[in-house]
Amino acid sequence: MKPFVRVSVCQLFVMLYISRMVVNVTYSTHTADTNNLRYGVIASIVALAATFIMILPVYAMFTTSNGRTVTDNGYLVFKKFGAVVAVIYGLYFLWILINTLSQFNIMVTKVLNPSASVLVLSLAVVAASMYGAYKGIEALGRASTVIFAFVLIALIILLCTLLPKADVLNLEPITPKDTPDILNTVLNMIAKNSCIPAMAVLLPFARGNTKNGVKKGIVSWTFAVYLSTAILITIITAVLGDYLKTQVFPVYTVTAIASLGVTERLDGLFLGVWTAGMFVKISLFIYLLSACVKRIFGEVISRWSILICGVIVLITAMAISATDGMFDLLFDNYILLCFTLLTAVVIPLILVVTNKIKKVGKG
Amino acid sequence: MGGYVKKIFLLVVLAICVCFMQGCNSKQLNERMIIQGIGIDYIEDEYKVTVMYMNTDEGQQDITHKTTVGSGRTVTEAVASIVSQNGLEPLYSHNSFILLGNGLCREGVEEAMEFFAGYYQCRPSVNVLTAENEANEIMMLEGITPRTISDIADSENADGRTLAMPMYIFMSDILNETTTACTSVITAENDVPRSDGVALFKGDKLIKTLGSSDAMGVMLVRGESDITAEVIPLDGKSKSFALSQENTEINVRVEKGVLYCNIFIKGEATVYEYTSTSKELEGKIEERLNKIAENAISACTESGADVFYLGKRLRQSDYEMYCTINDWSSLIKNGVYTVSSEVSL
Repeated sequence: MKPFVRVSVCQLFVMLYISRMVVNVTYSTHTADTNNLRYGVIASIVALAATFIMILPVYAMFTTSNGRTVTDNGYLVFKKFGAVVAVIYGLYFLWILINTLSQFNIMVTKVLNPSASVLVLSLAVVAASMYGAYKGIEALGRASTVIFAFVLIALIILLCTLLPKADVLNLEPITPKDTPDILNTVLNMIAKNSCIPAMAVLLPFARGNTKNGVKKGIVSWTFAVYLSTAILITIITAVLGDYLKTQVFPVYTVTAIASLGVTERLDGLFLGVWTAGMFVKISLFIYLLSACVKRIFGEVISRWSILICGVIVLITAMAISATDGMFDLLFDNYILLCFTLLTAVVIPLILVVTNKIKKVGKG
Repeated sequence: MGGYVKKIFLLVVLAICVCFMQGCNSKQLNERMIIQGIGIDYIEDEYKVTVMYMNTDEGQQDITHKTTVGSGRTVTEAVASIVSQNGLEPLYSHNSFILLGNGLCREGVEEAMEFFAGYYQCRPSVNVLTAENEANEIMMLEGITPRTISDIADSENADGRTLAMPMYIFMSDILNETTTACTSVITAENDVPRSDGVALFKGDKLIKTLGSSDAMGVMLVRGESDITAEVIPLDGKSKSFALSQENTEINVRVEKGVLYCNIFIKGEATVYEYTSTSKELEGKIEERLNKIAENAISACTESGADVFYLGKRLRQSDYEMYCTINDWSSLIKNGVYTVSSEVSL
């Protein structure tokens, strides 16, 4: 499947940045599976380096595969068994979609408005995202650029209004004794690198996808993601202090503390921007899932793939929200980490090596 | 034809959204209890919650607010009992203060405050105050409005004696292992409420109440005080000065099991009355500031209270030493405190 519709390298990484930042918004001691958020600052720096290493196989695959996506490479290397690669990626994107949608549902129903109907909410988000995915990667890329501008403005406003309320005394020093906790947080951050498997499918879609352009994009994306994360965690910790222990979604809490002039709380601004980011992420991952479905079942199902994927995501997310056991499984960081490492590192590495061996054999 | 069908379909979807996705959950303003202030007391093993809420009754337009009382085993149950009296749905997002009754403070406030920390409508930045006696007594005073109390809570920069304590900082101080939480105390004199001192908490329990002068000292050492009028003697007369741009540097160290603390206060003083001896005046003001600060430090530390974040400061400057300390309270009590100040006129 050679992509016809394209986005610029810049638009692609903007989309991926928004998708990653949406995850950061729900960052808390609960979601990060840690007893203290302060480890996140050091962990961000370590995770930055680890992410660079994680991207290498995908980047190597991109530079050696002549514009083929990871699923194309799967078919090229494993022939008809290549469908397994598409199935694994499809399942991974589905997992991420359900995870993201469930987080959104929890946030809205537990923190914002407990009386809100999960069904109506999920339906509205999935329907809007299906429309976004239906419009294609090009439209998503353009929408992301506009949303990115809003994200950036919102982040700057929040930082400027929260800085005077930050107290450096709330920042606890980190010692070598904290190493196990820091490593745990790093693993957690790496597990959330769902954008790397997305790159394995999306990089060939980038217009003018020269090695240099993509390299710059990867470097900028990684730095932007982890620096934003480190800044966000520092500000949250410095503002909230020990109050952090009582909060499920501390990012939302600090936005409720931020004030600008007569506007007493900026959580409305935050919610607007976050919902827009959610739309980008869910649209993008529905698009990726439908690309995998299309690759397996061919053009016959391609027209309906987005609709089918949307319905699958909605039904699964609803079913999981209602089952506690499944819920724990979905939010288990170690399962997510294994799944992410498989799709971001192991499969691309196997494909690159096998391809290389085949080429050498032919040569 | 296809274009028309699409447009009609979109219009139908929009109409459905307008009808069924309203932000206000179909509640009218007069069906809501828009809470402006909450007082909590703990009497006979029950929470007694006093609520001041906006009057949205069209028939009584001259009344700006109403006050009502409910009780229960938890704050939530107490509020629910109020709802069963008036049938209004409570809305906490406009609440401007939480007034804690003295009995509740002595019993422990954490359980009551958990509601405000966890309930989605409550603002983390709402001000917390302590009533000298019962919160209900203050809130039921004749002529009192929610504005009266919230204005007192916000007067930090106007009088330099009222400590504005947002809920999230208050809770953070309660949960921290070394810090002592504190709030301003509200009292009623001749049926008029006013701020009068600072309440100190050990964990979530009230341990001590300081007077108005010590409240100023506490704020001075915390670097939060802009004094509008304090009096010093000069040439046999009384002169008053104002202090602005106040800033405090605190250095903490522990040597041989003793806490040493150097406090340096800086600020810009203004004297409105005529005087020609500026050097002497500066000296007198510095002397006065030192005295106010020393009194406040002594009042706080004699009960082992750390309202100046000394523990957090040591945690940053000497983390290893900080980790070895088991009894922070006695370290504070036996500490050596040196205060100096520098003002420019």
